[in-house]
Amino acid sequence: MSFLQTEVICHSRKVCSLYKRALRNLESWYDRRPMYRYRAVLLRARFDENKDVKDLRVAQQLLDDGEKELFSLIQYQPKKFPLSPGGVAYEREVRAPDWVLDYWHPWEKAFYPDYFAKREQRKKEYVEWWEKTYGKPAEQGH
Amino acid sequence: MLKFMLACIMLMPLVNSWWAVQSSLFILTFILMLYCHHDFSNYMAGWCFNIDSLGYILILLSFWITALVVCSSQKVLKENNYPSLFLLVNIFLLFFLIMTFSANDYLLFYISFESSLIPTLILILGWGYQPERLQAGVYMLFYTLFASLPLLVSLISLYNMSGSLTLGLVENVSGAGFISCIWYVVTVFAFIVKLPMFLVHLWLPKAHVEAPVAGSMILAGVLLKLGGYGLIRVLPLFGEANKNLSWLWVSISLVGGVVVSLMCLRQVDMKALIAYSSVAHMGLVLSGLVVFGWWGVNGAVVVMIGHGLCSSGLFCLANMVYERIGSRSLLISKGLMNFMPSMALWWFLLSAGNMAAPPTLNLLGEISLIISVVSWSKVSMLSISLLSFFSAAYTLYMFSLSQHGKYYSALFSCCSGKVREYLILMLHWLPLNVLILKGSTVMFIL
Amino acid sequence: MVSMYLSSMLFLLSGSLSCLVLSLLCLKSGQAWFIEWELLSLNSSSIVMTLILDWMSFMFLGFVMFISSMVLYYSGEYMHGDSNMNRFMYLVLAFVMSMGFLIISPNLISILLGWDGLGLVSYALVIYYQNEKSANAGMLTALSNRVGDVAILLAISLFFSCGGWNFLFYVENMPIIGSGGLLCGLVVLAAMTKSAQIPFSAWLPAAMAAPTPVSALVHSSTLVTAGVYLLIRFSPALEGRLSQTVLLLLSSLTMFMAGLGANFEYDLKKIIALSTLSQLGVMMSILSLGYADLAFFHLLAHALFKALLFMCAGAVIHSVKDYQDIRMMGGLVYHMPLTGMCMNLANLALCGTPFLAGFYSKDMILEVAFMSPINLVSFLLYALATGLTVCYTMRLVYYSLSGDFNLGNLYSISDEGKIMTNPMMGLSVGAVFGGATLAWLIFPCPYMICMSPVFKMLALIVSVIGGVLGYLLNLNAVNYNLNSLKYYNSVVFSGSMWFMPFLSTYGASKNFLGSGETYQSVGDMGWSEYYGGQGIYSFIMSSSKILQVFQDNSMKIYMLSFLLWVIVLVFVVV
Repeated sequence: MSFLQTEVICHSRKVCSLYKRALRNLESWYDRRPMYRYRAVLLRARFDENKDVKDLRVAQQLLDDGEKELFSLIQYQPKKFPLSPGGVAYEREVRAPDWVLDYWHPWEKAFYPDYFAKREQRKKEYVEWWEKTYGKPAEQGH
Repeated sequence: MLKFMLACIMLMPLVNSWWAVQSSLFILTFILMLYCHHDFSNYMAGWCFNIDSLGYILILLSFWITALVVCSSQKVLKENNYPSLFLLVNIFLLFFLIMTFSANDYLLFYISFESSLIPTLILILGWGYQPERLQAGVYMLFYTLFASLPLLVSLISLYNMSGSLTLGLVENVSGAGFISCIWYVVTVFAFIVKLPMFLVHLWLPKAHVEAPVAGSMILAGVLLKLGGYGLIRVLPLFGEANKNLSWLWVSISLVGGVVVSLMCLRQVDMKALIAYSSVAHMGLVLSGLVVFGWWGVNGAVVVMIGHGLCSSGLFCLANMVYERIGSRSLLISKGLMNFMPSMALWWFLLSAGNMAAPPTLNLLGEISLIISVVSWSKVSMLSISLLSFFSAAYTLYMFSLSQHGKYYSALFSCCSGKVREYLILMLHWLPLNVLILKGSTVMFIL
Repeated sequence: MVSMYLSSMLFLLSGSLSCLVLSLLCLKSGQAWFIEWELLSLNSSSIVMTLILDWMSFMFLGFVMFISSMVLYYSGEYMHGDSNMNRFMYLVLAFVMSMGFLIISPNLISILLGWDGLGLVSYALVIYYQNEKSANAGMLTALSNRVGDVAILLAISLFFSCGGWNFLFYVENMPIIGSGGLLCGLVVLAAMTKSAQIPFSAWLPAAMAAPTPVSALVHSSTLVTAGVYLLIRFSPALEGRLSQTVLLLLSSLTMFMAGLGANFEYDLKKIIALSTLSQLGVMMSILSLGYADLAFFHLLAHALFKALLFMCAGAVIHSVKDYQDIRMMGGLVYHMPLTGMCMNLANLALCGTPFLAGFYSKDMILEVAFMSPINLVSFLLYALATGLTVCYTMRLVYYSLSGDFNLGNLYSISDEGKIMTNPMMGLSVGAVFGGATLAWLIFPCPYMICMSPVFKMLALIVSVIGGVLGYLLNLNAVNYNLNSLKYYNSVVFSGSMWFMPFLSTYGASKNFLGSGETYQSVGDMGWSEYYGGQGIYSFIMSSSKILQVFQDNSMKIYMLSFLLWVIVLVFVVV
C-alpha cells in the first residue's frame, strides 16, 4: 500500500486484494502443494460464505476483521520470487545504459573498431529517419 | 628556505603557461623531498626562516597539494576561466604557506598566517560556482579574523615580556592565574577557529561547499593544518595555563566530534559531508595537542598529514563527479560504479583512508592520538569510540550512496575516468599508504 | 589465455600445500619464526609490524588458502557471465590476503591491517550485487564489524601501559596491567563482533546477500572465525576474568538462538549461516572454558565442511535459478545426486556423525564441556543446541533433498558443471578425513575424558532425538493444522533471530539519525548560527542602523545628545 493514496478503491477490489494476500500468506505457511491447496479451498469457502452480504456496514466490518486476522498471522518470511520486488535477486545487476558507450575515449573505442563503426552508422541512420519522420528540430537558442 | 620562496616568486612570471607551472611545481616538490634527511633539528636557516621536521613535512605537503591542485583544476584551463590569474593566486598561496611554515619569528608567522587567507578568499570568490560563495567567503574571512586579531595583541605582549619573538627564545608565560588563562585562550583561539573546533566550525562547510576544487583541496589539505601547526608552536609557552584549561578543549572537541559525525550522517551534499568529517577528525587532533603528550603531538602531526592527503583526494573525487554529473547531491550522483567502475576503486581506497583503515597514515596518527587522550582520561574512551565508529558510518554512507545501486535515471551523460584523474588520485593515495612503512618520516621528532 | 579463476586456484593451492608442509615441519621441530618491522619508535615504545610463523598460523593459513582456492575455482562457474567477474576475483584475493595478515600477526596494532582489511573487503563483497538488500546488509556487516575495530583501537590505547603491542608476550601475565580487565573485555568484544556473538549476530545472516562463493569462504570458514582465532591467541589472558564468564553465557546463548532460528528459517543460505553461527557459539564457549586448542581444532574442521555445505547450497541455488527459499526446492537428490551426496556429507559432518570431520572436534568439545564445571544454564544450552543442530539439518535435508518436488514448471537442474563439482569433491575429502588427521596432528596425547554413561551417551541421545524430530515434524498429511500458527508469537520470535536484526538496524539507526537531524537543525543551522555568523551579522547591522540615524545631521538628535552629555558631565563633575 502506497503512502499517498491517490485513487478510490472500491470494496470488491479491497476484498479481492485481501483474498490474494491471504492466499499468498497461506502459501508461505503451508509450503507443501497439497496442503496449501486444501487450505486454499477452505479459505475460499470462508470468503464465499459472505459473498452475498449486501449491507455495506457488515461487509466493511468483515473486511476489517479479515485484514486484522491476516495481519496477526502474517508469515515472517513471505515466499518471494527471486526476481520480483522483495526477492533475493531483485535488481542484482544494474546494466550501464547504452549511451555510456558514446562517452568512451577514442582509445577505448579503438579496441572494438567494427562495433563502433557500425554504431556510428546506425546513429546516423536513426537521425536521418527521425528527421524524415518528424522534420528537423528547430534551432534552440540558449 | 629562501631558495624555495625565490623559486616560488620566479614561478609567477610563468603563469601564462599552465604546463610550465604544473611541471615546475612537481619538480620543486621532488627537489624539496631531497632535503628530508637532516642532522640538526633546525636547518636551512637564514634570515627569519628555518625549518624543523614539522615545518618541513608541512611545506612538503603544501607543495604536493598545490601541484595536485593545479593538476586537478584543468577545467579552469579548458574553459579559459582566467587560468593565469588562477595560477598566480595559487602560487601566492603556496608562497605564504611556505613562509608560514618556515617562519622563525612569531610575528612573521602571524603575518603570513593571515595573508594566506587572501588568496584563499580570492579563490573562493573568483572560481566558485554559486552566488552563495560571497557569503561563504565572508564567513571564512571573518570567523578567522575575529579570532586572530587578539592573537596579534597576545604576540605583542609576548614581545613586551621577553623582548624577542623568535621561536624558542620566548619566555614561557608562567602561572595559571586569571591573566595567564585569558592570555592563553586569546592566543590559541585563532588556531582553534582555524582548525576548526566544533562550535566555531561554521565557516568550514560553507567555504568548502562553495569553493572550487582548488579551494577545497588546499583548504582541507593545508590550511586547516595551519591551526594545528600554530598550536604546536604556541602551546609550549603556556604550559600551566594549558594544564588547567585543556579539559575544555578536549571535551568540546570530542563531544563536538561525535555531534559532527552524527550530522555527517544527515548530509546529502558530498562536499559538505567531507568538510564535516574533517571537523570531526580535527577535533581529535586538537585534543591530542592540548593534552600535552609526546604521542599526542606526534599523532596530531601524522593525522594532519594523513588527513591532508586523504580529504584533499576525496574533494578531488567529489569534483570529478561534479564535473560529470553537475551535482554534488548524493541523491543524484549515485550508482556511479556503473559508469566509472575503476573510479569506484579510488573512492573505496580514499574512503578507507578517511575512516582510518590500515595501512594509512590516518590510522597511525589516530592510534597515537587515542593512546594519548585515553592516557589522559579514561572517560574519553566513550566519545572516542563513538567518533571512530561514526567515522566509518558516514564514510561508508557516502561510498555506498554514491557508488552502489541504481544510477539516477535522468542522467544522460557521463564519461569514465581520465588518466590525469587517476594520476591525481594515485598521487594522493600513495604517500598516504606508503609513508607508514617508515612512520618516523612524518613524525615531529626534534 | 588462462582464466583468472584457474590461475588463482593454482596459486592458492600451491600456497596452501607449502603452508601445510611448513606447518608439519614446525609441529615436528617445535620451531616458530618471529619477524618484526619497526614502523616507528617513540619514547622507547615502538610500533612494529609483527609476523609470527608457527605451526598454528601455518596450518590456519594452509586451510584458508585451500578453501579459497577451491572457492575461486568454483566461482569460475558460479559467477560465469557476470559482468564484474574480475572485480569479484580481485576482491576475494584481497580478502585472502587480509585473512593471511590477520593470521600471522600477533600484535595488536599490526593485526589491524588484517582485521580492518577483512571488514572492508567483506563489505565490498557483500555489496557486490547492486540491489538495496545487499547495500543494507553490507552496511550492517561493516558497521557491526566496526564496533570490533573500535574495541581493538581502544584496547591498543590501554595496552600502551605495557610499552609494546606484541600481545603474545603479555597475555601470560596480563594482571600486571592496571586496566587488564577492561582490556580483556574490549578484546572479547572485538572477537564477539567478528564472530557474530549474540548482541551482534544480526549481520551474519544478513551478509548472505553476498554471492554464494563469498559466503562459502568469508561467512563460514574464515572471516567469522577471525574473532575465535584472536581469542585463541589471547586466551591465556582471559583466565578467570569476568569477560570469560560473560563470553561463556553469551556464546552458549548464541549457539542455542542460532540453532533454534535455523529451524524456523526458510532461506537456504541463511539456514547455513545460522548453523555457522551456532558452531561459532560452540567454538567461543569451549574457548571461554579455557580449551583454546579444542576451539582451534573445531575451527579448522568446521571450516572444511561448512565451506562444502555452502558450495553445495550454491550449486543448488545456481541450478534452480536464484531461488533461495527452501519452500521452493525439494526432491533435488533425484536431479543432482552428486551435489546431494556432498551436501549430506557436509550435513552429517556438521552433526558430528562418527568418523567424519565434525565428530572428532565436536564430540570432544561436548564431552570436555560436560566434564568441566559449568553451570546448569550453559549445560542445558549445550545439550539443546546439539539436538537442534541435528534437527535443522534433517529439516534441511527433507526440504531440499528428499521431500516433494516444489519447483516451478520450467527447470534445468543438473550436476554436470565440472567446475562446480570438482572443488566440492576436493572439500569432501577434507570433510571426511580432515577431523581424524587434525586430531592426530594437533594433539600429541589424547584428552582424558571420564564421565558416567548417561553423560557419555547424552550427545548421541539428543542428536538422535533431534534428528528424528526434525525429519518427522516435517512429514505432514494434507489436512494437518499447522501448529506454527497456534504458537505464532514464539515462532516469529525464534524465526527472526529474537528480533536482533530489527534491533541492530532500525533500533540503532533511528536514534542516531534522529539526533543527527536535531543537531543539524538546532546546532549548526540554529544556535551556532545565531551566536555565530548570522546572529552577529544582524546585530551589527541593526546597531549600525542606529548609528546611521545619528549621521543624518538631524538637529534634534544633536541637541538631545548634547543635553544628555551635559547632564552626565554635571553628575560627573559635581
